[in-house]
Amino acid sequence: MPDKQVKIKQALDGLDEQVIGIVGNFVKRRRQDYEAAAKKLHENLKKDAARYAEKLADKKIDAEDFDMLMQGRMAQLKIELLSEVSISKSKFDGIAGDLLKLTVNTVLTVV
Amino acid sequence: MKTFLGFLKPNALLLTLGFVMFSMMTTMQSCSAAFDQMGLDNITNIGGKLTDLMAKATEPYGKHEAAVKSILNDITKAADHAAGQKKNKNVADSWNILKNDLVTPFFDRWKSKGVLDKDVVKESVGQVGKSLDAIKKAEMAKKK
Repeated sequence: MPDKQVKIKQALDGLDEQVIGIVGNFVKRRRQDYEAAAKKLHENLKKDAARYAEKLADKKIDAEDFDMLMQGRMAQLKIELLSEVSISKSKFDGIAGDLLKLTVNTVLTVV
Repeated sequence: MKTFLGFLKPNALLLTLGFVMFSMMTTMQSCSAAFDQMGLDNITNIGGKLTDLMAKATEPYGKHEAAVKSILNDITKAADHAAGQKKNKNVADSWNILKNDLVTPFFDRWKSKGVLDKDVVKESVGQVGKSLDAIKKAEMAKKK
């Protein structure tokens, strides 16, 4: 695996614990349900975020394309989770929004 | 319970219990959304057209502007239909997320750039395809 890919993967894996913290900021009751949803969301997001970041680093896409793809990926995950988990959309939007910021900032720092 | 219903005669007690059971069953049924054939048709009809159109974003936007307006209109109608169904908030929310957070930003970017790179188109088409699959899964999970 090339050095750049390894760095991106390590940076994204390092976020796992922070996902729990983000969930804690939004919910107190039924916390386990939300944590499970957020972990699943982040696990799926990491793979695609790494691929988009590599394309950005290789200049196959520009920063605005990267931003649109990350927002789109988060939207896809929200739809997938709404079809599977019964959680309030407004709370989920808050969690997903913070998770997106954290992931994008981390990836851009490495790239 | 025995004290509470003790004053009822056996037949009246059975009738009361039957009524309670019937009420519980109808209430439980109304907790989940009913199967919606039109909702499923919307996904099938819009899904194919939408991903085909997005795949053409490597061509100039102007050539496909009318088709973009038409498909956005179709998605709005599908979202409105979903919102009009009882106990269907998650599916209605999903249609709105698809339109506002996925499809509209893609078409806006296509319009502003004129043409999009094939890598971006491929990734975006994949995101929309998987989102439509998730909405279809939610529709199929409803009881017929």
